[in-house]
Amino acid sequence: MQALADAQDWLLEPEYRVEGPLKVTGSARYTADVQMPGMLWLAYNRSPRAHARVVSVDVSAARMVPGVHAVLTGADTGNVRLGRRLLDWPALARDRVRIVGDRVAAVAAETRDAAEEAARLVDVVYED
Amino acid sequence: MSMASQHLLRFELNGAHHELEVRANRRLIDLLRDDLGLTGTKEGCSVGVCGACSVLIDDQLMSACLVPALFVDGSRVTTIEGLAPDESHLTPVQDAFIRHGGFQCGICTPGQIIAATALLQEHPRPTVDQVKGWMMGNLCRCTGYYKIIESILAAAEADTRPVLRQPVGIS
Repeated sequence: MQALADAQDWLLEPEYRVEGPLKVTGSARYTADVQMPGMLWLAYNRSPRAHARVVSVDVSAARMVPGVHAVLTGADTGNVRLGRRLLDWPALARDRVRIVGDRVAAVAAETRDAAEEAARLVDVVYED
Repeated sequence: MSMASQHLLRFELNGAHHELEVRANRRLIDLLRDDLGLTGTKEGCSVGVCGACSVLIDDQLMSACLVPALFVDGSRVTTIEGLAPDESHLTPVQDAFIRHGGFQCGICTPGQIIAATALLQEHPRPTVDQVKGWMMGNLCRCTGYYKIIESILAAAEADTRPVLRQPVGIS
């Protein structure tokens, strides 16, 4: 019975989390907090359409943005798919987009602004 | 393609004076996290509804994702890194969040603590309803909020002096 009482006391007391001081002072590091020299920023061009055929994707203007290292489309990646048990979601759209926000192009650039500007400049023609 | 103009920004950040050239379209959150390396302030939603980027500007609670960096010219800015008086102490709010389980993953925690600090500056002995009303702008996906409210109420009851910080790895 004493063991049960002891266990209840122990269970009721919040544990002093070892990472507590790091989290409450903002010094715990999360993935987005990591900065490395020479790192690039990623931005996507995403479909505004829920479902459409992709007629063409023109990345020439995107590639001209200073600081851009690469612009990839489904034509570059090929049939790469994401998913858990069912790999059914193309990483970058190829013949069609199937959800608002479907990724059509990926940009890697030296700054967040350059990556986002280049992503906006990817010219996609859709057809219903 | 034209670039936003650059201007001189002079402000006080966590007690230290800073002067730097900043583009007109730079957000405060990017200045803090990317330019100044203070990654304690987190970006959750980018549109000012989640509270993860909460900072104090002249003691006012604000979302850094909505503030152009140049707006803090001549102001005092306090981030999560600037609350504790030194490396070996925590504020009562920070200590209460640890002792009362006010966080799990911790990503919303800097924003919660900044908001709670502002609350207790305004209402040193808040009611539960005052805590809930004030903290409505700070979302949390992990805790269910009960422990956050409990932590804040505990901090309100606690001594106002800084608490000695326990080294990481010892409980």
